[in-house]
Amino acid sequence: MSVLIRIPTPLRPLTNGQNEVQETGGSVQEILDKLTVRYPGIGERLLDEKGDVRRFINIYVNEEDIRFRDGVQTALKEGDELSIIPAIAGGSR
Amino acid sequence: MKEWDGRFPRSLYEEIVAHARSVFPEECCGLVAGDRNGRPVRVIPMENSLHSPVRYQMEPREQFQVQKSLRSEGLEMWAIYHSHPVTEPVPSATDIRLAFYPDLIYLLTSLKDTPPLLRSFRIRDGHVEEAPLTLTDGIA
Ligand SMILES: [Zn+2]
Repeated sequence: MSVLIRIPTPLRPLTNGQNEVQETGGSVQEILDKLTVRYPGIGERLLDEKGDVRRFINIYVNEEDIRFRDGVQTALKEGDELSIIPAIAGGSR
Repeated sequence: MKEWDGRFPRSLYEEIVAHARSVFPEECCGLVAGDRNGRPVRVIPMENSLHSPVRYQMEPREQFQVQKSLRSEGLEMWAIYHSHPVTEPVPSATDIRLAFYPDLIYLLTSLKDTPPLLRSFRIRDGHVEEAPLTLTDGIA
């Protein structure tokens, strides 16, 4: 399955400035594995030491947060769009 | 990162301050969109999903939708703003730890002073650098 991946601005230095890239894979996990190999450095930005998606990284497949589907096991079909969305948060405490 | 000369339209400043006042004593948060030339053109108020006076967090779904509509208009996220209702408008330790957008400007306002200050910063790898901001009348 060929999938379009939207890269947020803070990760573009790792994708040679590209704001979207294409990969093939049948699940979110497969796409993350491909990105990790193809773009050194992106793996540790997206995944923690155990290989889980970091808490402050949100991944959408089309219009839906993968947390409300099957997480990284979420199946992908041809033409799906995967968006990587780092959280925006803070606080005075 | 596109260069920015520090010019910021007063009308956008007023929108940010109005947003901060409207949710006081909670922190407000939102985005500023920029055009292709890297100039700030629009304030986009976002919901603080924590509704807290000391913390803010945007709803990922709202971020997703705003990014999608900006993309269709040829605009980009340019800055992230939030308010400190009663403390100085400088990034806190939490703000620094949770700053995942080193390429964007972080704008902070505070209702502590009248008129409220708006200050701008870059936050990269835990380092904060102020980027002097000048309010301009008319279009940036
Ligand atoms: Zn703050």
